[in-house]
Amino acid sequence: MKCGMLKAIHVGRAMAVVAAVHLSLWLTPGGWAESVDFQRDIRPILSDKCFPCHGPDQAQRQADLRLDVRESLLESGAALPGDPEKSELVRRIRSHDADETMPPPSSNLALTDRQIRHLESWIADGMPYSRHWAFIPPCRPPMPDALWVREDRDAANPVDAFVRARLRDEALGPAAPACRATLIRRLTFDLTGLPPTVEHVDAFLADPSPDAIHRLVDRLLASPAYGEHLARQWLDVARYADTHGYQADRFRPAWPWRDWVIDAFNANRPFDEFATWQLAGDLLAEASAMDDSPAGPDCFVPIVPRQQRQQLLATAFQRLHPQNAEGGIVGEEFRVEYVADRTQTFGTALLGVTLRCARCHEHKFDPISQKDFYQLFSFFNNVPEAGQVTWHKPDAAGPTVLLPTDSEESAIKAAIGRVRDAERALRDRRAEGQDAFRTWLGQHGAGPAAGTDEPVDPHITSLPGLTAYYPLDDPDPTSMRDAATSGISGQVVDVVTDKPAGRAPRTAAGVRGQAIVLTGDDALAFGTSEGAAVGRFGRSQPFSVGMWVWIPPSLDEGVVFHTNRGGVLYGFKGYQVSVERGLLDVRITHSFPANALHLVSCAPVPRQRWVHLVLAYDGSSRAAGVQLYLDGRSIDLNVQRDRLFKEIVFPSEGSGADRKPTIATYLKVGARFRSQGLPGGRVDEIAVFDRRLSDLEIDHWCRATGPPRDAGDPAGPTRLQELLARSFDSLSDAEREQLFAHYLARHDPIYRERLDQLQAVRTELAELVEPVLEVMVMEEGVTGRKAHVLKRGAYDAPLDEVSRDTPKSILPFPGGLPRNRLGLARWLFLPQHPLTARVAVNRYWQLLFGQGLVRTPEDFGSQGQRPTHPELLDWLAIRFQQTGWDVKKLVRLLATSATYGQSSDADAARTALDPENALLARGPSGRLSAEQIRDNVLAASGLLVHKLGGPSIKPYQPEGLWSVNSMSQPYDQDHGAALYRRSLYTFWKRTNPPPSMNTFDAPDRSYCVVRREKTTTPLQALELLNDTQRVEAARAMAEALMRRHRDDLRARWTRGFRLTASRHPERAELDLLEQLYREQREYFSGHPDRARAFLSVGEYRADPQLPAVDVAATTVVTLALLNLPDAVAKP
Amino acid sequence: MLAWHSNCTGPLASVELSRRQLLARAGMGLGSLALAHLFQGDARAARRGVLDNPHFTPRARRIIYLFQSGGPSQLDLFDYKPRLLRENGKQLPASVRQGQRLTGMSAFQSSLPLAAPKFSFARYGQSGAWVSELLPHTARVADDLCFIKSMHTEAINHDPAITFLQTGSQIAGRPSLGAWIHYGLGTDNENLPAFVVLVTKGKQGQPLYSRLWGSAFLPTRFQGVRFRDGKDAVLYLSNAPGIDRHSRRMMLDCLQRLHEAQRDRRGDAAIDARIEQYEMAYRMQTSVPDVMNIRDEPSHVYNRYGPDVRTPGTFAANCLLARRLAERGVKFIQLYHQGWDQHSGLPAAIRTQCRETDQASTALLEDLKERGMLDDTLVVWGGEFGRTNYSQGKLTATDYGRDHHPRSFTMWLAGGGVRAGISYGQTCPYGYNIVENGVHVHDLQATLLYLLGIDHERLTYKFQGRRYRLTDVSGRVVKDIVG
Repeated sequence: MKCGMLKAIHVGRAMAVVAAVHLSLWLTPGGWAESVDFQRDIRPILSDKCFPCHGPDQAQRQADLRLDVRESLLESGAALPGDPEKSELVRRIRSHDADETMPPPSSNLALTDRQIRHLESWIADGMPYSRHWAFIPPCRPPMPDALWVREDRDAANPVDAFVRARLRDEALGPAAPACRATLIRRLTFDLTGLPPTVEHVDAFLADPSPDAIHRLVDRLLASPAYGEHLARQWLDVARYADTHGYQADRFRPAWPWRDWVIDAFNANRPFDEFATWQLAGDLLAEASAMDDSPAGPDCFVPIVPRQQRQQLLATAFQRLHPQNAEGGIVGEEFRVEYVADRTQTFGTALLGVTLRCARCHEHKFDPISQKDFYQLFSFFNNVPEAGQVTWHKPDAAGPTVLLPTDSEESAIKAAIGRVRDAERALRDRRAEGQDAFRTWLGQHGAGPAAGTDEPVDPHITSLPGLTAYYPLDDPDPTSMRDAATSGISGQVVDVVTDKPAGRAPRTAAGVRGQAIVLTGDDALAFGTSEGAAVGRFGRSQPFSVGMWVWIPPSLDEGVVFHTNRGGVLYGFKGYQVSVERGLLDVRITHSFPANALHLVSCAPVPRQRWVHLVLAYDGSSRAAGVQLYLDGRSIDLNVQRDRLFKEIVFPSEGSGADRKPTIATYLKVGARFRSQGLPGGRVDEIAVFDRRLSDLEIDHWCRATGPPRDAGDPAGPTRLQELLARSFDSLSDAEREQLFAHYLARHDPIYRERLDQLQAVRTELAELVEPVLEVMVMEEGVTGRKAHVLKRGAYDAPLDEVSRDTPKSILPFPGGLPRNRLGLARWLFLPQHPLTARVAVNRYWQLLFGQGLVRTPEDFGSQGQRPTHPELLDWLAIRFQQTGWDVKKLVRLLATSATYGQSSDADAARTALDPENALLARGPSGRLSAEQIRDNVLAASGLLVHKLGGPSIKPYQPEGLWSVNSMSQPYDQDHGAALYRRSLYTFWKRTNPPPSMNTFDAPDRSYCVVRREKTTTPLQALELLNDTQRVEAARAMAEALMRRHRDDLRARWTRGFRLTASRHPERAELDLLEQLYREQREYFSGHPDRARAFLSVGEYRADPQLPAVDVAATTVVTLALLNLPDAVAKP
Repeated sequence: MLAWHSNCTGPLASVELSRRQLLARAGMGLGSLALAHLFQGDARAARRGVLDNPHFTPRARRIIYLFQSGGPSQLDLFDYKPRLLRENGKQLPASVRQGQRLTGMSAFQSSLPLAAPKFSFARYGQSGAWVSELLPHTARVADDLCFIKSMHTEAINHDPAITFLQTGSQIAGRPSLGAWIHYGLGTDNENLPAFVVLVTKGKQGQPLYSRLWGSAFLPTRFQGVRFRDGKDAVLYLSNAPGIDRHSRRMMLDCLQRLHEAQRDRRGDAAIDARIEQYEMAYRMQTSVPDVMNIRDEPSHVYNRYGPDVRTPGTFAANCLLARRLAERGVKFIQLYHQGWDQHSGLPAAIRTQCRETDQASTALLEDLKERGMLDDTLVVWGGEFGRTNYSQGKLTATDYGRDHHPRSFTMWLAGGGVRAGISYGQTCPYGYNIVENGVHVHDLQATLLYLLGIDHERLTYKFQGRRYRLTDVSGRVVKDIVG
């Protein structure tokens, strides 16, 4: 064992001993011994009252006095160990002078007399310090007195040994065991979120064997409902929701991640793996996935193998934070917010530390600096994501993982095979075509021959594939005539309204004839919203688009041409050439930046002269298939992103002649909605081809539209003409290759046919991939994004650059681990980590006992509460690690303890002594969660539909709730079985969470929550009595009871009682129910129409065989039963 | 009793632990039993807030907040800038913009032409306040209003901006203004919620979210309750069809006795609280429809709110409803009126907005005044930010739009201890920057709390180890506007 651990044990032991002694002092009514313990008595005072100005935060530190480090306090001389009377600190905390007293009145903090006495005693004791308990690694504490444990059979469960040891110190005994009906109800709710069936209760009551509880627990742990229930807790932690949050709050498909969580719990995935996959599944998957992907490394359909797909999917955990699609936001502001959210969630969920405080300044209470925060932040900072997610509803916020169904997957794999075959056939032709090339060359070697289709004509129209050509020499430049075949005239539109700008553009001398001078706000647009479109190409379609452009001298940002609807607003869907930071920037995009081809020129864009710019693309969805030509020559491009696997045009709807894109896009030049255009730029000679021209053709294009050389040969000889004029032997290899490529693309019929074939199978593949479900996941960007400390947390106020590291006060990051999220996950699960196991164990304890051993599960720092049973917490933490982070094993241990199995009935004395049940001298109780309450109603009524997973569903909800968000789609309620699914599957809209959940304290899931409030409000009563879901369930329950007990009313009520409370009613309770039934029967008999109205609530069809009045009266009784304390609280 | 118990468990325990401290600790895991004592067990205590006594003498007992969502154009309503008339169409000078950020909606316009308001302004009342022709009714009561012309915020987009104004933080996760007030002051009415939300029905425009009236980390009972027009003013208020009040009473009586039986069997004090909640729910079934029934107002009162008042869910109907809620002791009444986000076509759209709000806002003030309620009812009117002095999109002879402008906007306050008939703060001749007495969102929040007798630095709630407050780490009470 390392010496660090040994040291920790000593501290741990000391802590345990001290705690035990002082606990008895605590519980002596009226008498407080003044002996104090630093951990228990002093640090909380210092932290809460003094650290804000004299703690770890250097920037806020007053009078250079630091109280969280003993040496600093000693150095300051403010307190003299052993001599409180001479200590300035004591003088100041005793002072009544407003200028002197500490804490100062302006802080709104004050010390009580008791706290002052404690501080005095502590100084008198020599001012001992110890590190905050939670930052000391746990070590296995000794089991309480072995002899005593042997005497108490129950204490065979170590949980009980620790709990009872402490109870013995308090001279308290445990409560009696809960009755077995209570126990099975409690266990079933706590392990599955559901009530037990009457049959399960009977079986359990009838089972006298000593291991009945163990078998019950095992059965529950093996039930699929266990995974659902444990997932529910994790969904709060992970801020899982079905919408993006923020302004428009649109749908996002995240439910496959939720199903992964359910499955992980049911499969009992070890907690370290569970967390590691969620933190770094993409990095785990990375190594193996892409190499042996069925798609192969050269085919960018990222269908990854199943195991890796699950690992990738798990990382959605870090993308579940709200994401903003609001137009006009500063994307970086929100991207930083997302990264901060990941960091904070990591802190709250896994470290139990309030990292959030350190986002803006040094943590005031815990030794976590602002630099620490941003060092952690930098682990989560390198994701190719957009701060403003696309406004286009169907597009996922990348990066994503594709989740094809089985049939989709096999179809896609087959299509990939066909694409590969077609690519191979094309390659083969490249090898085989040399002979034909020579033959062709022979015909043309002496220069262009008359009668062939080779362009001798210097005009652009002689190049095949020209679909549109705008010389821009029109007398009225508001309408730009197409000199090729599209028949679509260009017009000048205001990019804000997308309507004609209503004013003629300025013209100037062009490359040939006149050019148009751009305003930057008006675009030259070549299409209409009705569907006419120039340059609207899908990702499988090769194309070439180009023009002459004159870029003003100082322009560093601005779009040259594009087919986007807006820039960032719609994720840059389409293609574009723009100037970014003075470089030429090419994007072919489904949704930027994750699903895109992105290339940037190496050299700055030439300004203040006419340049010929051509974007050529081969339809391959690969960066290698994208080329940019400047003045007829291809230029070097740096690939920024090479992952395009969905369509680059907006989807179409309708059929036949009415089929139209949902959003019409087409070529626009010089300006873009909500983007920087090219004010003062000029443009001339715009042309679009529906094929990827060869290098030599592009050269020809440039010459043919370029400035005239001389009167006799306005274009000058093209490069092709030059090459063809030379003898074969005089050509260099490169020149031959250029000629060969030209030959294939233009003159080889076999190659051209195969090219068409390739395009056809690529289109087929693209259509198969398009509908495949995508879920947001993590991805490590190729180019590392730098991280800085941000002043006051503001995105636009970077201070020092930071690199990836963990807070040293928690645990230094060891050498040997990769400095990425995978390394971070490994760090989290190092055996000497002080927090991970404790925090996790505490949360599972909370799941069963209602409250954690640390009652502030979100904060294990110095402002949090100390554990009620420190040794037990550490013992459980160590054991959790040693069992390989086995969650079921842990839950089983807790659930089978006698402590858990105690009666929760409160006797007055016990309650008075320990109102918060800190000593665990009685069983857990408390209101059920929102989900449990609703699921209980569904289960008791028999309506509950057990179906695991799938898209979230929309049960009954009052009308119009979503309409306060006018950008939201209406609530489209589901029908049939979907109405009766477990609440875990209820559609969660962040800005309007389901009222049946929200009313019962479920969070809105905008941020990580590890503990829910449990309040009681009249709105809950109204919901329990009047919600369609509950009234309908009461009716279904009533009908079932009536069919079972037609005549025996006592039996009817007894079973009803057992369905909702799992116990037999007492006689008095039965009498009350019977009386209610009689009253209600009388009421409905007098108003049979009301009975029928009452039975019409909900979609569940009334049983016509049953008399309406009886059903109605029975329904009122069952509704009352569903409102019993047992139906909303854990017994 | 409670103070002694707390010694058993809390590391922060102190013998003198007050009820307030216990409440503050409730967020840190106080057990259900203790909560029952604090929140429910004692119905009277449950109605009280965390503050036993206000920090200051309250000037106002309640707030009616008329939130104008989307960002009304101060330049077309209140902040009269003749300079814009002279320089209409000229570019926003760089010396005025000073490199400050714009939203992504107009940041890339190659031209930012100053846009003069299309509406005439005049001075009204003894105070001579400038008000646009769009608000003839408001102009009439100018001497009752306190204009703050120098409001400014940090957010430039709706969601963060409205969240900031309503919760003190741009990011979701903090309690709303009304929740803080409910938490601090409790309620004066046991039949109605302390914090009621009314949203104008059927408006388009920027979304609203339940977080704007949510309680975040404060216990859920402090969140606002939305009253809607229609059958269920409060969610699930009505009994199922066929169940009348008598039938429900019989059932509740039975349920109460079943609860009592359980309480006696198990000694569970929390059950008393649940019984009380069912009773309050039952009372709400009459008290809420009663307050919603604005038709029973005398016709002279009813009619002064304008013709819209006849249509349930309109801003006018909600204003009248707000007065009725205020009369019944509701502490915080939050209205929302959407539709002020006029990026384009402003002149036409703002007319509609003003027609919908002007008369009713004014009628509310006059109505409160006549009842002697304006003295202790604070009325607040305003949006989440202002609008730019330049046109977003094309400026034409008849039309313009304005983008979001966080650096200056106008709100007005009335009644409840604010100085009437003043204009506070000033913007530059271009109406772009503040040149005098800027009021930050946190300053406004601090001032609203101050008027209710609350020190914004002392109304705190400890959550995740930190004491949170509405005004985060800043906020200054604007004493100059306090009467």
